[in-house]
Amino acid sequence: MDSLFSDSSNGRSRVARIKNVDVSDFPWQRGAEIGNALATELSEPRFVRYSRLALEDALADADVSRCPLPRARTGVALGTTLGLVDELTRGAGPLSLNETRRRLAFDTLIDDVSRGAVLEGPKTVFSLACASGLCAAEQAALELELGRADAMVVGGADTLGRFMQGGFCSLHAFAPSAGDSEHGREGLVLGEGAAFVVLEPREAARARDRAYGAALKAQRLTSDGYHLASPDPSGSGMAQAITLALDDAELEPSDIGAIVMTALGSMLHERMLKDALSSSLGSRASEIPVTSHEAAIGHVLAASGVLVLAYAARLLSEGNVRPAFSLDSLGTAALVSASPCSMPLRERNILTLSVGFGGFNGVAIVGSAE
Amino acid sequence: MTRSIGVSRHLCRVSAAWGGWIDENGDRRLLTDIGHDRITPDVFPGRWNPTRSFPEELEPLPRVAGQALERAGCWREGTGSVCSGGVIVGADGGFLGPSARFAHQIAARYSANISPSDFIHSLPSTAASLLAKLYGLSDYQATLVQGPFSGVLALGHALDLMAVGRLARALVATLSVSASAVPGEGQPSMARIAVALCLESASGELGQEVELEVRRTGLARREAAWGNWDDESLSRALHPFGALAALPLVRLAMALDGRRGPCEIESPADCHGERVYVSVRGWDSQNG
Repeated sequence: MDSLFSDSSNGRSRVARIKNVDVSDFPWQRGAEIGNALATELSEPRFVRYSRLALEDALADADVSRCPLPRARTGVALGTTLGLVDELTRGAGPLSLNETRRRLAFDTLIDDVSRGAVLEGPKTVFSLACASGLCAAEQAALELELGRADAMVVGGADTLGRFMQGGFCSLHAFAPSAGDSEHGREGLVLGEGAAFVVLEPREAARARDRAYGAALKAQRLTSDGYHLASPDPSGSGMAQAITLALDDAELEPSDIGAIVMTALGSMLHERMLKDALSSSLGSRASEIPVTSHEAAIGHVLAASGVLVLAYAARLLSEGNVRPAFSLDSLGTAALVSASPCSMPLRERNILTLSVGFGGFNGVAIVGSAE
Repeated sequence: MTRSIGVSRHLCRVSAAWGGWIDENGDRRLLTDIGHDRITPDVFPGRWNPTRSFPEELEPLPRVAGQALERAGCWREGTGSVCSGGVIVGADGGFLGPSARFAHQIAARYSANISPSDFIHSLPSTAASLLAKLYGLSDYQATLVQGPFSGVLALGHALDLMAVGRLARALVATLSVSASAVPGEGQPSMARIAVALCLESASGELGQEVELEVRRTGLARREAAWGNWDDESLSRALHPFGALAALPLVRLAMALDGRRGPCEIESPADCHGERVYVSVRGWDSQNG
């Protein structure tokens, strides 16, 4: 998170020509990869490696060595678009159905990711494209609310390989669409990685002498039911999710101090998000500063739904909103404020928006724990 | 020895449908009478682009979903009606065929002619997107991917959401697609079986509601099960880690603990031109 914040604030980007896998035959070859040293460690698939390291980092950040979590009542909820899909592009020749199932190994994925942590609570894996991580957070919140777990480790992860990059190439998703270029957009750029957070009820955290600065106040997912690949351009599903989340958190638009967005880079998504904010937040939409980490590390697929939670928590701890690099040129009809420089966070609640391929709209509100 | 991991439970009205088929040697055997002709766009007027063929990979999922919703009285075929509620899918194999095909297409070299269809349907979540689009289920959407647990955990997720009042109606659906795994049998037979449950929160209609429960139980802790080592199983487990200096002494400890009688334990590898052994003697005479 430190380097991500540093890169975001200094305008550094990891978007470059993809090197960890050979995509030289692809029409679009740019992405934001995890560093070479991590990616080329082949003792385990990259997906498992990224996830395991992020999970261990999250547990360390939750100070489990000093104040252990109750392992029998700590679960894991994981979201991923395609999990171990890189395993499908190893070797030549078509794969049988059974071999494809064996390589994707969705039935053991969560065990591989969490093996070192020996967590014995409920474990669940969701696939909801780029909203997968937030769906995992939804499940984690349910486990806590229904008293089935004392803590939940929530993660999202995906890797950038031939399958994923090739898939988005086949959709022409990287190509700037009409209006993108004139607004400085280059189309979608994928990233990769894993993001994990630990969720605990406040009382449980207190019981193990642990204080958190941020609280997940609400999370909501809606579905467009509009198209298998494109979002509903009206943004009505996202607007509904925002409204429901505000209701759940018992907050008004005026209580929101910043917005963290994902799925940027194309006018199609940005206009949808802008319209959704406009219809759900009213005139307040034009006053709330908007930020995103995606200029630094691309769109990190399933990890994005969890990364926005961690990013929002970091914003709360810093008390400032970092500059946005993607939303300052939405044209004359822009309703969303971009934050040209670091500015104080006036309200201690942050709205995060996650968009999933297939019409998933994910919204979370992260606020001060006090 | 087992332990409870958690229970999902809710009182609801349930309408269900299931069906599928087995393809074997060019013949298709229907499991139920849901039919197997391709679904056409006129079933969903205004909800499905007539210029696009219906994705065969996902059949018979939309069929059973439509039957369950129709039995619940919240959707009618051919009317273009939409149904409020959420959709939760347990994905079990419907995405494997498209995944394998797309992987094969791009494994060697990317071509501009690659169709995105296989990529779209390689995503486990696309089945839920499809059901949301066809039936207008826009309140919520999720897909669980956990191998053979996917269906039951999808039901549990729906019960949780209904129990906390987040959903009043949920379509829970699972499609299993699997090839027979008998070696040497030529073309494998293929089974596709789908089930859909339309769950609606209790409305007070006497006799129309049931309590559904999903219980997760953990098996004995793995560490406990791993206590019964013998020499052979330990060697097999530790083989990937090479020559471990501790191993001969572990064997010695096991021999002492097990009172196996005289034995000779060899060092795991040569080292600077030597090999060492540990021997245990004397028990046979003492313990008979």
